[in-house]
Amino acid sequence: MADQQDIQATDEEKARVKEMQEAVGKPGNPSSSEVTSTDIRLFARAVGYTNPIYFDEAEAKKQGHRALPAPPGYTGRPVFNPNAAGGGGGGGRDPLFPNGLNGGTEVEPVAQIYAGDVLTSVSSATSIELMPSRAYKRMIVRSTETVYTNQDGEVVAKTRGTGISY
Amino acid sequence: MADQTYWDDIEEGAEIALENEEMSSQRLVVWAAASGDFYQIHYDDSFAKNNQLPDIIVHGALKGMLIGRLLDEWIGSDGRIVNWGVSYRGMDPAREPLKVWGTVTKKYEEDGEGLIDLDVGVAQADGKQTTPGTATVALPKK
Repeated sequence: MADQQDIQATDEEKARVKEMQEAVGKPGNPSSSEVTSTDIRLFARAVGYTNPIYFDEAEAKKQGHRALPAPPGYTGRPVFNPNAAGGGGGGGRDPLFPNGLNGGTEVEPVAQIYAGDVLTSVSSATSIELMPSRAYKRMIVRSTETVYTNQDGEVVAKTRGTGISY
Repeated sequence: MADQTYWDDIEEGAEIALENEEMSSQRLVVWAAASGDFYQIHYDDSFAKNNQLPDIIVHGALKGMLIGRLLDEWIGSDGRIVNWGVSYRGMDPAREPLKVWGTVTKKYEEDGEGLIDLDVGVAQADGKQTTPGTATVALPKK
């Protein structure tokens, strides 16, 4: 835990962080993601896969899959709806800490995800800390865990991430 | 595709890698579309420079998923990724090739399953490590 005396944060920023910390350990609202064959191919292309099972449904079925399998780490595309609260993806940034960096990712694939699946994810913050920063004076380090289940209620993946806001 | 990798054949210290992964601006745009991460520091030169960055930078999550690909291609169709995790400790400028690597640190059995622990990471051409991490995979036995 950083020495609070070292952190150059305003009282408003400290109050905002305290408010965030009250949510630690509490599951957030479920979020829905679609897994489509087009998005699997796009993800596989971006990451540089050439294995035909990620591109060719006939080849995937020949190798025992029921549809195009998602490469490890792919957990679908959040359903975007500009009329829903938060837009359902690409969510807003806190005005007091508007900039963000990705601090780290952990992936635990549990079961195979396939094109056609609809995933429900629930995230919860596991820790939120206000830290001193040489570059930004102060920053928030937020760790989260997300559990993904498919349309049958089966847990298919767990991810843990660390985000930095400043 | 690569032949099946077997637990029996792996020795501690063994190395695997994806050499010279090109990080073109086009690839980062494809990743932005694939991941939904449209933060402009990854594809807008002016925006990146106005944010004190020397160039657009590679998405951290893309580097994390390159580790996933390294493992997926290594373990073959009968292997299983148990988990992997990385920390993003440094920025990688776009348009520079990256090396994605893994080194076997431990070979062991658990409940009859053949497991392998690895150190993994992403390195720039000059060897600078920006994305250290670890992974565990299960491999079939002969």
